[in-house]
Amino acid sequence: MARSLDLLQGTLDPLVLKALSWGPRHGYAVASWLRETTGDRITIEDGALYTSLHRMEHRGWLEASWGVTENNRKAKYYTLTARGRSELALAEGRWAQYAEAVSLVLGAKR
Amino acid sequence: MSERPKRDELELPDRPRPVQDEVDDELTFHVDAQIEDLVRQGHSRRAAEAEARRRFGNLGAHRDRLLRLDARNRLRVRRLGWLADLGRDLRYALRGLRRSPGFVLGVVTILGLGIGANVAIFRLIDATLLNPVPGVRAPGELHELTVTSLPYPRVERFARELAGLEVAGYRVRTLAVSAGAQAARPEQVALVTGGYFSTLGATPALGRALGPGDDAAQTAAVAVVSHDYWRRALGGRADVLGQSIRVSGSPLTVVGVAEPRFRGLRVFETPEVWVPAHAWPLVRPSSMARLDIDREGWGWMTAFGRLQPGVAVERVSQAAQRINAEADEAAGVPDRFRQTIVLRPAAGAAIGGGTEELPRVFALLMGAVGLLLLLASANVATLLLARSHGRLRELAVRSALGGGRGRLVRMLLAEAVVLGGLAALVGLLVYRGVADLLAAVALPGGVRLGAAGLGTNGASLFALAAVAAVTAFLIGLAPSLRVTARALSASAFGLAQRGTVRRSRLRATLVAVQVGIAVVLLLGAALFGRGLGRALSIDQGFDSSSLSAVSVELGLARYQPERALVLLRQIERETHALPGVTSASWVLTAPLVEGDGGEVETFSIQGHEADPSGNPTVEVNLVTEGFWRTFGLEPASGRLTEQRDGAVGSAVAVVSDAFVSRFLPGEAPLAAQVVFGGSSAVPIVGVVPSITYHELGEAPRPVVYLPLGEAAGGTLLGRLTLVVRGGGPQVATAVVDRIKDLDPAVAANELGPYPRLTARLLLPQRLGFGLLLSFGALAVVVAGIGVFSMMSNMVVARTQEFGVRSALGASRRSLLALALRDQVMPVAVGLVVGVAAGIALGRLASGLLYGVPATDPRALATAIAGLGVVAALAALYPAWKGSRLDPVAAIRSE
Repeated sequence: MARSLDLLQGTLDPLVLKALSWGPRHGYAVASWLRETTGDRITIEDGALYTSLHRMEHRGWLEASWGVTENNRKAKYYTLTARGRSELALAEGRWAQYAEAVSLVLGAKR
Repeated sequence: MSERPKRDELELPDRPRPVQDEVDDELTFHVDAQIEDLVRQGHSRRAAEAEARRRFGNLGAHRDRLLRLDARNRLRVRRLGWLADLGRDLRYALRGLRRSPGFVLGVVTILGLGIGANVAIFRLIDATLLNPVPGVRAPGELHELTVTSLPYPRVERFARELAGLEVAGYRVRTLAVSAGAQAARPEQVALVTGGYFSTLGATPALGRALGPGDDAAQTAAVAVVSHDYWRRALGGRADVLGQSIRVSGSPLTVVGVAEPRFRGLRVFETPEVWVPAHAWPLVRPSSMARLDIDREGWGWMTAFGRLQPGVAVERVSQAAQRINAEADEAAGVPDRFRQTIVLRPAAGAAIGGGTEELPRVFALLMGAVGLLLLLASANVATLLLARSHGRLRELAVRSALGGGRGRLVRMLLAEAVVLGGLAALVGLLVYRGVADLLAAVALPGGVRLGAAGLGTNGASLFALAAVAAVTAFLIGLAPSLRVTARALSASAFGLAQRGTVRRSRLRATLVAVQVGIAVVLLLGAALFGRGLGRALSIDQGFDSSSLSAVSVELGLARYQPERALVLLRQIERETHALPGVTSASWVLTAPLVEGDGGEVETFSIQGHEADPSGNPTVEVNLVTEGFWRTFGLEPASGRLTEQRDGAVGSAVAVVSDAFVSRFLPGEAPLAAQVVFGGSSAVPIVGVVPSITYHELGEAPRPVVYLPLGEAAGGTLLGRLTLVVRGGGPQVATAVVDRIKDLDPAVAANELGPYPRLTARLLLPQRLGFGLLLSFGALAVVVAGIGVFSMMSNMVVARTQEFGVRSALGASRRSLLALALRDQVMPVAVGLVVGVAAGIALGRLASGLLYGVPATDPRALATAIAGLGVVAALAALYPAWKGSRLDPVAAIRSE
């Protein structure tokens, strides 16, 4: 396994929102998707992931309901709400600006 | 159910699972799924478990964090949910009520009247008894020193020597006050010691208060005016400071304007001007020219003080008593004039003399309005009960769907809350109306009840909210408990039919309560009416219907006796010349006019042995010769006084027949001579019938009449009243105008027509009768509505039964009797209990009833008959309708 990066402070929420942007998923599915998508290059503790999920649920960005997996097990599914979706859009915009600014600075010739 | 319930009305929350279970389920699923995936990828079970744990991080810590997070959130959601539920209940109640605007209007009016009346009477009690000294700091610390008056030097001595009490003194007198070019008017002026304002802790609205520096001979020409006087006579201008007003003709510089609510220590005293006690030589009437404020023997001030924190009242009382005794000793005051000083809370003394009966009347009225509200609530409760029966099915559905009992009660209470809220708004209007009416009531002494200040304030709004809340609870609770108990026990739909609520003990009780309360109020009104009637039928000894009165005090305008007599005679002549006037007379003591206290003097009868227990006293009245005609008095023997009798050296007396029977029994009165003090003997030249002087129904009073003329001397400078016969209701105004033309410096006081003046004598009775009668009438109407609604509901509920009976051949009359039978009991019980309670309460008010007993048969008959007729009519109509139902339609009705 390649050496992985620590997650930048405050960036977990947008990642989780993104993970849910294709439809309802349970916590484990979100964790697996993030692991696959980053190629395991970023370390995310699963426990922290759940804190993020619950916090965003209370804020009204996510809605939770109990459902059944294809293996017929009961699991808690999270769905993006309209507010969650607009939060995600905002976060994407912020990240793009931030990344552009950082790369401008780091790529400066003089 | 006339409308399909909307979704949100039927949505009932399911009980949520514990937070802990939810979190554990979620985390267990995660870890299990992770392990299964890892095992599928080829890890051993043990390695997979270790890897899953590693990936998750500290499981225990994360779990705790989630539990805390969720628990906090759950709480917040529950609070929001409660609010949302409440909002939903209120919205639902509103929607339900909007469907029956007539019902709402009726209920809100009935309750609004009850609530408004309660708040108005509460405010009256608040202003006069609970919080009677407004505009001062910590009124609870203020105490009055005895009720009798003290000399100025004595008050100052208390102020210097009495430890633990900050002492000041004051006296309110009516003096002639004018501002700018305006004519002088009689106003209340308070003469105060230097410590008055600081002791009261009253800060002025403008300028400064009076202080110790003002209370000295050289600096005393200053005044603080009341907020009201400032607005009324000084135009409410900010540059009033430094201007001067005239009191008794002397200019005083205005240095301050008092705070609006401030009026000193007495509820019914309304001083317009405060001046230092040392301004006395500037403002005193010429009749009191020899009285100086430093005189030890002249008691005229009321002393009061502020108790220092932590000091016992008894200690200060004893110290005050000691100082007073020393001062009496030093001044050589005879034993029988010495007084005992006690400290009394200023709030208790604030209601003042002449109005002692008011607290009792207020208490009575508070009880009456309380009963009225209880009646209104009972009535509305029956209406709501009837309404909710119509909704039984809906409620059964709700409870069957799992609506908790608490939630159902809350839904019904929400309806009561909405009604209570609307009623509070109506109540506010009613309160303002009643307070305005009460404020206009004239009290003994000519002050209006409004002087106590009955306007809307924090206390009245708080009372309004509290009364409305209690009312909402009362009207909502009974129906809620009743209906839900039924709805829950009868959740099987078939049982929740109207037939099951045929006889409701609760509703019968409510009707009995209404009838009982209505009887109490009606009986109270009848008793007061009888008392008032008895008081009014008392023979006053003279016909007061076309009399009017005006008073003056010429000493205030610095007259001397000779000039005063000239002016008085001139006023009398010009009054006599006014159209319609048949006679007019100056009198020292005008019969039945408040404030004309009556001069009492000790006397002896020449030739009689001296009474060992001291000389007797008699009331002396000085009158001009027109008096006899004005009051329609003919001599029983001898002659009446004439104008020439008033000259110096030709004194004669006329006495009342009560004087003869008391002091000259079996003697020839016309041969007797009366001796006052050290003066020469006055022969009795005539005897006249006794007339009423001070109170209706008083015992015939011994009176000596002396001529009011040159010989009267200083009496001509004191307060005298011109009594006029004829001339119509405006004659007093015309006389005041004439006096103003003759001398603008004379402040004439328009007392007005006699019937209005004497009305004050019976104020408590009139107030009690007027208010109890309105409350009683309202109560009877409301109770009638209650009986009517109970009857109507019963008839509707028994429609089928009546149909069956009718079809089986029951006569209309027997059906009518059947329908009425259920009503007789509650009405009868209410009547009996109400009469008993009414008699008990009537006993408490016996002092106000002029000897009418609480068991007065006519009052009882009036009350019972009044209520009985209304109740019978209210019950008969629906019963009659029920007896005439078409049997076929009735049987099919459900």
